[in-house]
Amino acid sequence: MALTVAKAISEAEVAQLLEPEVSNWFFTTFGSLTPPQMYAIRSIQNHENTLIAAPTGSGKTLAVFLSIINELLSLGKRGLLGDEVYAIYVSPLRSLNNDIEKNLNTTLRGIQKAARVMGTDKVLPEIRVAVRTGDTPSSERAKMLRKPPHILITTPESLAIVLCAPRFREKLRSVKWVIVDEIHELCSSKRGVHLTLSLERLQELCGRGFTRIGLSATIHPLEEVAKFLVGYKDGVLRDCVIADTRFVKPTKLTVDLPVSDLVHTSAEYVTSKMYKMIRDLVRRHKTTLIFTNTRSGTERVVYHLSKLNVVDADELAAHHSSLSREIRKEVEDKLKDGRMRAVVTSTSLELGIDIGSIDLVVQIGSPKSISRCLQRVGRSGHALNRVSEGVLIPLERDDLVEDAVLASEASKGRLDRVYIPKGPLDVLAQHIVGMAIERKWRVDEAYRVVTRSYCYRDLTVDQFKRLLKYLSGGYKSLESFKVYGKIWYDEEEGVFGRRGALLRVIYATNVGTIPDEVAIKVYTIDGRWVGSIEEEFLERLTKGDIFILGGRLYEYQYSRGVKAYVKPIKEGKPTVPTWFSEMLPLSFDLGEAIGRFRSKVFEMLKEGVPKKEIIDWIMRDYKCTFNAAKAILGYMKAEYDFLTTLGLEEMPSDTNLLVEDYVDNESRQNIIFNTVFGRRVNDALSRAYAHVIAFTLKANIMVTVSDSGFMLTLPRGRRVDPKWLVNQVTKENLRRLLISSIRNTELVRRRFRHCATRALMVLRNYKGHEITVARQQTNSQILFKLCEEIEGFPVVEEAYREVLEDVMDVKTAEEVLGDVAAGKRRFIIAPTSDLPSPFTHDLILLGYSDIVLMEDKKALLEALYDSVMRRIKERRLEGRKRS
Amino acid sequence: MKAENVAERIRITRRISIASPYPAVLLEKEGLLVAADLHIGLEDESEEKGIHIPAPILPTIIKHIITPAKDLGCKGVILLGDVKHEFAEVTAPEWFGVKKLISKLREQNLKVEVVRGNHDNYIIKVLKELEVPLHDPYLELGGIILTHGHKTLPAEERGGRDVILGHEHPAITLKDDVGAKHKFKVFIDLQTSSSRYFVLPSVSPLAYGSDINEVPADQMLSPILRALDLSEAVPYVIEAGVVVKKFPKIGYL
Repeated sequence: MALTVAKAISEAEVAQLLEPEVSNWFFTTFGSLTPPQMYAIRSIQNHENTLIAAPTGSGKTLAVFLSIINELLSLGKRGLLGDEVYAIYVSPLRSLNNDIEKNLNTTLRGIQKAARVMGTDKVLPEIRVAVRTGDTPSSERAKMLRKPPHILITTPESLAIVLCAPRFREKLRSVKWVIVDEIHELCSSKRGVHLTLSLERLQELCGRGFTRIGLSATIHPLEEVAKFLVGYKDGVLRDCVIADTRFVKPTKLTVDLPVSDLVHTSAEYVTSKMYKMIRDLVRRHKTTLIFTNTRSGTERVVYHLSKLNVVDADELAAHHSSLSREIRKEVEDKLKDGRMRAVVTSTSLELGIDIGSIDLVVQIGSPKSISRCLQRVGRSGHALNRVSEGVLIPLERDDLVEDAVLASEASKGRLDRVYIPKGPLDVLAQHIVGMAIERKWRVDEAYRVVTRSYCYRDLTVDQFKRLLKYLSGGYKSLESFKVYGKIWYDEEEGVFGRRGALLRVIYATNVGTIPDEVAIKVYTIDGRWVGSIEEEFLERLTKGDIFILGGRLYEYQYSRGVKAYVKPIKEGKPTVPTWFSEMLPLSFDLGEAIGRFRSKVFEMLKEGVPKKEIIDWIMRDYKCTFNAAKAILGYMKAEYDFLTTLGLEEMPSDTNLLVEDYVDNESRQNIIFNTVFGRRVNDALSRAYAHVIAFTLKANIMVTVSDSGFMLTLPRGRRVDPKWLVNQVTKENLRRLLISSIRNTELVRRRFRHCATRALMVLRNYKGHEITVARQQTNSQILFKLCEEIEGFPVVEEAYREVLEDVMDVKTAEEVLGDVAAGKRRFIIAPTSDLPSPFTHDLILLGYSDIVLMEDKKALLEALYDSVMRRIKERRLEGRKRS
Repeated sequence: MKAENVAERIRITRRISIASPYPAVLLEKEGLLVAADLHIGLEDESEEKGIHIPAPILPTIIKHIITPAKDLGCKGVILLGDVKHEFAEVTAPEWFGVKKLISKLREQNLKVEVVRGNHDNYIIKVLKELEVPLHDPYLELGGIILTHGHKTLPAEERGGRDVILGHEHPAITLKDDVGAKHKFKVFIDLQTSSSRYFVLPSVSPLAYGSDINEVPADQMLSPILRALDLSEAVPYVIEAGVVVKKFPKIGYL
């Protein structure tokens, strides 16, 4: 088992290895090897698993296909090329697939041309390339069966489907290479996990190994991604060669601000100046790619830029996943042709589709992770000898610090770690059904195949068997008339197989990991359609709540199914904020770097270092313009002054965790933890602490979370001692507290719905009907309640795992608490104050809130009754006062 | 399995008590338990529509009826409509489920009678075979009218008497001090100038409820309730098998 570093290959060696036509074509067209080609061609030629990490536009794809096409041609020349699939290319985007198909065909034509010149074209075999996805018409598929493509281009979902196609799957037995593109994107989600199982099933089908090749943009650590790509054979990690050319393109990052003080300037003023700043940048460059972090942000930026007449209307556009495919393709084509001056996107243009040459990337706000920033900025400066240039323009104070620290870390080549989900049971359930469709399996045999995947290495036999039990309907007692199952499972014999003639159709129409989004349609009570809101948002509304939609105020009345009814109102203050989280979380590693930065600045302030020196240092080491550096110092100083006035001697840092005790103007105690750990870790810690308080006081606690900390709000008149509280959550009890605290939340219920759909418990498509998400939604809430009562039910287990590990980061939270116990970090408690520190303002205004409930239903009902009675009394008193 | 609570009475009137903490009421004089909206067979319909319910439902429905009936020494049980779910026929699982329920009740020496609900088309066959009396559109017991609730009762027939109904699957949604939203099934007790209306929550764990405190009166499923002012109604919140609690009038919520 070995992860080895790639060895370079010279152009002379390459010329020798390649067939003459290919060599001729390559060197005439390109002249020389790019770094990814230099480091990857050797191992690919040797049929070794290879991971290539390089920025976009660096010739990665060609590095792979050069060897493959070469070998196919060589086989063909010797009459050994069959009507079979030899290479499978998988990418997450259909547009990328289409690009690859085009490029491959162009390459093959180029080689043909070279052959003609050399006079060898008659001997050259035809290499067939085809794309197969959900869009592929059945006539194409029939053709593929008759004359299979040598190179098959597909998506993770289509690969899973094709493994079950009884006739086409036979053509896959000859596969020698599998290429996974955008692996950095796939490996951090369930979609990638799903793919690893497809690869293991494919390998089982082939009866032997094939060469796995992964193409990745800038990510870290590469060893993890390599393990993800290759998996294990009989418990031993398979070999992989790593070609690391991530930093081969020089990158220039700048953090800029349109003002020099974010503490005292209004948001509207800052925003308006920002648009002017972007306008100037766009005018100075040929093509600019602007990243916001949300889809609504994208629309807003395009709107404001067009109002400023930045460029001609047809040279400016938005690109995001809510737009239709036609619109997106149009923008992509115009970019390729160099006809766009500015494109604004949320995340959809992050991946590697060809968009021509971009000379500047602008990031509004914070990209939240160093790797992501480099992936985005890496879209600029396409030809390798040009520099990748990126400007970061934050809007909030915390974003500003994030951007600066990020720029500094990036310049030092320090990236943040990628997160790869481990052991999702819902994805596995889906694949077990797929396997059952293929044939009958012995349990131990199937278990062995599945645990070869890096993500399922630690799967227990018990978990596997419980999934079989669920899928075969085994949790229903004998009390039921009929036992419904997708598979049959004989526990004694230890075998399972398919059940029902419809299973393959169900599988093919329900395969996938991406959850459906529910759009709740909003109507006025007289039936006028107003717009849509997200399901998550609806779950927070009760009658009387006021919110903004499409710029207007509405009062929520009630909802039925997928429709919500409101009354338009003229005046009022929104009671529920309408921003909603598509927000990416700050990476923990970047958060730690921010903690260290903060403490350095505080030290300098304590030592009396002159302002100018600090600003110069920030400008230099943190890639800031003068405005940005001055604003950062202003922000740090405001906090420093506040804390010293409060009497604090030790300043907060990554190891000194500041806890504030803030009593607000409604006399509620708010305990604020200033932990810059990123939202995922903070989500976990906050709920555990809240649960302790809820349990101790028998009250419901409100929790507000952001990337730089969390706040626990107690009901009026109740109090706990922060010094006592910080010791109540430990590495040992965190998980238990967390599970108890999320039990009744919308968060878990929603994730359960997604897991239920992936595990084929709730189908999206059945017997030709598309089941509306509303029906899926309603039933899942009831289902969750029922399934929770079944001991060991795997879909519930997965819902909790997804929340604890994927949505939150319980493992890192445990590490942090371990550090506290070991004395490597400590909590410093500030004296009680009626003001929160400046660092917490963003948290209070913009943080994501939820409620941690009491577990005891009886006590909850009592408390609810008390609160209702109190409100009635208050209303009566108010009524009496007025009269 | 959680330990289930022993049933206790919550007096509503001289004649009617809630069999707390179960979704049923006791008719004191007659010694009869009344429960509505069982929707046996709903889980099989869900399977047909692509939603797999892994937990057994029928045992819970049976338990939530038998336990209070036994604990309170009832002589019999009245099922107030929507005993089964499928409109267009009696499915095989429904035959099975209804038979099982009836036989379990009879094992406990409980007499069974059914008042017809809108989902109970074709139930006549089953009930005839099992020799269970079916009342349509209502059953009158000593001045109390028991009807499912999907049709109005002409005033002459009602004549100022009290009505117990189901059909609506009533529920309420409340927000607490910290802004958490809670949804619970409820019993509804409404005293008008002429009579008293008592609405039962659904027994079926799969049946969702309409929010009585949010949905406007003219959107109610039951035509009987559409004609009433629900702001004066008193809700009794129920967490089946755990607790029942009386809350202030709907108008105050």
